[in-house]
Amino acid sequence: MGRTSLKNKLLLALLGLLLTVMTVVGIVNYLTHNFFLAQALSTVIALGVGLLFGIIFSNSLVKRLNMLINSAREISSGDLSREIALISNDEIRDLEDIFSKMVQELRRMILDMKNLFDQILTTKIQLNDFMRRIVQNNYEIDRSALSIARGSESQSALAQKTADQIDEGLLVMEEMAGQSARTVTRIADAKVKSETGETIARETLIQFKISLQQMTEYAKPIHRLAAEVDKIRMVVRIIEEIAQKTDLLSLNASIEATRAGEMGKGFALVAEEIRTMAENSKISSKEIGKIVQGILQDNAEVIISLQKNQEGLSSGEQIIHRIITAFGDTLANVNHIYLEVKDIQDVTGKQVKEMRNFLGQFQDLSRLAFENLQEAQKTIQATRNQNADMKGIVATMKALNELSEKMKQTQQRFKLTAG
Amino acid sequence: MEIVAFSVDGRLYGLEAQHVNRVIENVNIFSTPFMPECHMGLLFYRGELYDVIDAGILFNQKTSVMDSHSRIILMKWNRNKLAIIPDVVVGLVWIDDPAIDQGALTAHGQMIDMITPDSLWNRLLKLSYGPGKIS
Repeated sequence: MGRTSLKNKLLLALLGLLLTVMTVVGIVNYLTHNFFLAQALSTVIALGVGLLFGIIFSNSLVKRLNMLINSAREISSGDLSREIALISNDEIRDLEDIFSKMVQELRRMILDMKNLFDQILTTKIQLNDFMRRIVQNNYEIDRSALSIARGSESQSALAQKTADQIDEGLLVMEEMAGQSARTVTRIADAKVKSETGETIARETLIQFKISLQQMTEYAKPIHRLAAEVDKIRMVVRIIEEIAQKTDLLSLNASIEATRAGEMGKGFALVAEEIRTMAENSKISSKEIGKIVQGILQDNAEVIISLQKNQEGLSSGEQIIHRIITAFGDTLANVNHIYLEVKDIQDVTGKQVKEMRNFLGQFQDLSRLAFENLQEAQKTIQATRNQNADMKGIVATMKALNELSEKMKQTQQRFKLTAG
Repeated sequence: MEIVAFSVDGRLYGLEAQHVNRVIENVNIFSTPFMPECHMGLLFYRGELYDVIDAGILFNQKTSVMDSHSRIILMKWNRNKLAIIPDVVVGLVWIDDPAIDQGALTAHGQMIDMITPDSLWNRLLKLSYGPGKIS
């Protein structure tokens, strides 16, 4: 069906009325040939028809408008279950159509609102749960952050204390390193002195050997002298023997002279002289013997002294050998100690370096611990702020709940389906 | 008078030089059995045998000091021959106015006991025999 607007209806009605009037006028005029009558009659008929048409049209229009008003009233009271009847194709129909669409839209909107409310409700429950968990987690985070802050504070203090101790230890180790360096220098000096001592001992040994050889050479004439003096002693013994024999001879001669009486007196004088000579020889030989004995004794003492000197030199040589060996051992030990102390110095240097790195790391750790403390404090503050914000969110949610309740109440005011 | 002086155990003794035949040393002495203790043995000198007497044992019951140079006084008187071994033979000493078997003083004022060969011999004869074993 095509669209007919009220304006067109009215124009058509006017045209019909005009046609009717003209028709009546024509008919009356034709029949009566009374124009005025025709005019009056047609006017009456036209008025009557017009009135009738007006009543019918207005009733129809008012009725439909009333229907729309009633529908709007019901809708305003929340009843969206009424369906708007679409009767004509005029502008009222457009209004009905629009109204119907508006009702449908409202119904859909309310449904959407209901769905949205349901979703909000579900979300609110979830959000409540989530909020509760967030609050709980915040509490846990706050507690953990507090523990972390305390731990970080203790860790920072401990790290600082440890860093101080490491610093003190580092000072000690630096002192040790310095001491090691000084010890290395002293050991190097001792090494040089030991080497010098060994060289001197070797030179002394050579001098000792030379002295020993010289002493052996010096002892040879003394030994020869001893042999010569021994020969002299033998000669002296022979002289003593001769003197003894001479003495005995003179004694016997004197006895013979005595027995010879007066005849033997001259011989007795000779015998006496021989006895005196023998006595002198004996005395002289005794003196020589004493001197020789003294020389031999002195020589023996010199030889003993030389032997002792040689023994002493041999002992000295052995001692110097032992000294050289001891110097060699000492040098080897000093070398060993030097290397070990050098290693200790290197190790101590490395330890100092490592301790410095360690100290730096500990200082970093202390700084990190302090930063952790600050961050933990910030976290605590942030958690507390978050808790405050959560309270705001809770308040907002409470407001949202109230709004939801109001929306629910508003939505419940709408009736979406019949029955 | 001249005497041959000798010492035994630090004491001086004197023999008249007339009775002394020789003073010798370094000779072999051969032991004989059954002789008194002071009898050292026999020595052979220039074809004659001498009884050797230890003067120390004879006079003081003490052995004289003997070595290779010990001197032995050989005495000959009448037909007797005797050899005595003193500690030391001092030598010939002149003494004035001696008294046989009596003490005398030397020029140096030393006391000398004078002995005679006969007194020695008699003294030996009074001794008992010794062991038969030759030492």
